[in-house]
Amino acid sequence: MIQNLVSLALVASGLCVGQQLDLSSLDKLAEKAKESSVITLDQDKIAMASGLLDNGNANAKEIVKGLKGVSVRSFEFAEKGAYSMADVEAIRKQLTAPGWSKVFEVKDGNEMVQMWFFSVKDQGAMALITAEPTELTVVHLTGPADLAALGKLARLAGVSNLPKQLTGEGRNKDKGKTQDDEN
Amino acid sequence: MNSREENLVRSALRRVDPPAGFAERVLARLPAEKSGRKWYAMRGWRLALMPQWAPAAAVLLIAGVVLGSWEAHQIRERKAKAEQAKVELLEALQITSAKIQYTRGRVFRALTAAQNKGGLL
Repeated sequence: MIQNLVSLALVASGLCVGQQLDLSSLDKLAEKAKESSVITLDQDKIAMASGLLDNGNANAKEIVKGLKGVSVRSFEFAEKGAYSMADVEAIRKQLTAPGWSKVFEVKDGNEMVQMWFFSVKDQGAMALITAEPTELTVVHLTGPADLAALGKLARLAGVSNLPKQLTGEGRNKDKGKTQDDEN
Repeated sequence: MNSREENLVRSALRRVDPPAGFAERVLARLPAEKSGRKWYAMRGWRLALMPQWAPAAAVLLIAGVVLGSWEAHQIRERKAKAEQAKVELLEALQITSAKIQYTRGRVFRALTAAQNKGGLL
């Protein structure tokens, strides 16, 4: 009985930690980068920041309502080959933890895009990795398990219907929506 | 110095005991003792007029000023941190939005390519 409880607690704690990603392995790339953004905001900082968002940032205020954490690592390099996929591997390895699922992956030559979602009970997260020859960006958002809530950012950019399109569901309708969003 | 002068000096400088009750009379005439105030509170007429709770009030005032300054400093620091967090948050949202748009373009290109090949869709 006790063993079961302990293993249950371990699994639960593993899942709670599972949505967290440690992006610090990428921080060393900032030295090589021409431009870099290393941002880590926890719930307290987000609350502090959202308190200062005025009506001019209404969209941002709405988006950050349910956010519990934001981490961004974005690097722009002067030359190709300044980073390797081994640098990204440490992040991808963490995304194999229970609860994470890959929404899509696009590989095209030297470019790679991956989007991951985490959803366990009331815990949710999103991870986006974009690797271009001279740019590498990893975005990690944690918040509610409601994917629609996490997708608010995507809606802002007009891509909320991506998963539907990938499955081919309601293609024309979605296409129309996307064009609207683009405008 | 001759012996007469020396004797005069000796006699002038010889130890003489005070009259009886001298010390009590001196102490009784001290104003601080009469009013019950501390001797250091009686230096100058301003200090003599100072009530006994004044030092405590001064300490409280100084403590209030120090605490007030510290609190104001904390508020300024919190505000600066919040401003910094706001800038970082907006930058993070901007990068995220831009990268999602980039992602969208990549996915559509991939879908279009698949469609042209008559594959996936």
